[in-house]
Amino acid sequence: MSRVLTLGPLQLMLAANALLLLPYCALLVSLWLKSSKDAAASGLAFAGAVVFAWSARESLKARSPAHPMLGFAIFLVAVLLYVSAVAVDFRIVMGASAAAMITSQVYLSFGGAGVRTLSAPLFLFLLATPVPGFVLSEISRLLLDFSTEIMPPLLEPFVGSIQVEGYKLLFGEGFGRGIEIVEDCSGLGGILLFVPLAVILLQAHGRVSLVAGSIIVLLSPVFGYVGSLFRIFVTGLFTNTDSSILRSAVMHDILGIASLLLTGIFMLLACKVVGRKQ
Amino acid sequence: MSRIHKAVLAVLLLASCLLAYDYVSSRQSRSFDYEGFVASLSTIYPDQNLVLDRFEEDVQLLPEEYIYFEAKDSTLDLISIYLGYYPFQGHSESMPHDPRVCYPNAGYDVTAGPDLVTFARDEGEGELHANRIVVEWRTDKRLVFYWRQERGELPLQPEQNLDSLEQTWSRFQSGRSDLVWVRVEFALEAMVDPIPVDWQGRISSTMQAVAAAML
Repeated sequence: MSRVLTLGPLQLMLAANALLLLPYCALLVSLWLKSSKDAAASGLAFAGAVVFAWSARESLKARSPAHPMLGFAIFLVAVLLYVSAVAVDFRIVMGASAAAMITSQVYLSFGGAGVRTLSAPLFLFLLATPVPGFVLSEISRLLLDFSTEIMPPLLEPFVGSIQVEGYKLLFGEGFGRGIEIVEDCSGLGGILLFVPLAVILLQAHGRVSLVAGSIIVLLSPVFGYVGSLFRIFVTGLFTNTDSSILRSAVMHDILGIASLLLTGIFMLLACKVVGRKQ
Repeated sequence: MSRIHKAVLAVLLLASCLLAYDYVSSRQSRSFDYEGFVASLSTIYPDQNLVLDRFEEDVQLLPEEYIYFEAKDSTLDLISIYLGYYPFQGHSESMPHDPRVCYPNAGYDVTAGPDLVTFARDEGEGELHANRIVVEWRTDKRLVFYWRQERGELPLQPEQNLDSLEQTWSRFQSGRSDLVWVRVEFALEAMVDPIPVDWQGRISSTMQAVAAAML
């Protein structure tokens, strides 16, 4: 006895979406495999989107949208933008239009209530968009410049006079010791990782008001930056000691984890302070 | 399935077909003619003994394809040429750092710039653009020119770091998005302001050699 596999309307729609999004997903996968911290933000956002969308599927109910023609028009524009963006390899538009395409389809199938139910995974899907390199480069330059400005007055009471050479801070006897503020090591390179992380934490934490959630999400890179400054500061203190343990690569990694934990604590405190159950 | 869902499905399938057609018909693998470019360099900088150098292996921020030449025993104290090639538009971690980040990472301070400098061409051909900075580390002072070239074109636009609509439209028309970053570095005393005419010509020729090598 043979079984005939038939696709329902929802499966057909999912398959058609998967086909169209194949170039974008292939691009994202190739980006994630390069294992940089910027790519980690995109990967984390995408994974969060899939998990939360899957867990919300039971609460979705088919509904007619209030403005079907508007929804369809947005869908058409999004598809047009997406196809053009894939053709010219314009990745930020690719990600944004893919998110708009999915959102409009959710609206057409499940109405405004469906979009609200899936708001977190849809936002995470948008956050999976690769950020243009020149934007990352500019953010990183500003953070490195600012960190190099503020770190000497913070460290000088503990390590003595500091000589600044570019992003290198030299101190100790004859300025023979020092640290280099490097975006990868300090955590500055992964500052955008905290945006999807904040959305995931908020979603897991429970329902918080939109305003409170937005504040926390907007502040999340600031928390991440404070964590990075902590890591740079303590690395400076440890470098000025004679302890081989404190100056070791293991301690460098431990400080990385500590700065991440510190950022997590800031986020949880922010949830407590500005978040409120609805 | 409602009518609107059938329409959505039809649009999705049609768009997938369009993308498949675009992929099969227009997507070509791009390459950079390194040999041709290196040959041009020896013509453009004939009095320099440019020697191919390598950066540290496995540096994540470097593109897969790049070259770096440094002058040895030349008439100038220093001249170096770096070129990083990206077959597709450089994004995210594959995008090179702005030199304003690279130099401070190596201990240098950016003491002047970036300024936009223009190189005149024949009448009616427009101007070429590059960025210029001065970097210093202790007694070492360097003058650096850097610019981006896309799709085998000359750097005619001053806003080279922006994904402007004009650039996007050009990318769409040409069907290519390959990118080259170029940096030419001199010892400062070799290059007084204004830039000597012969060196203006050399930098402009370098831009043309890059455009010609973007196949």
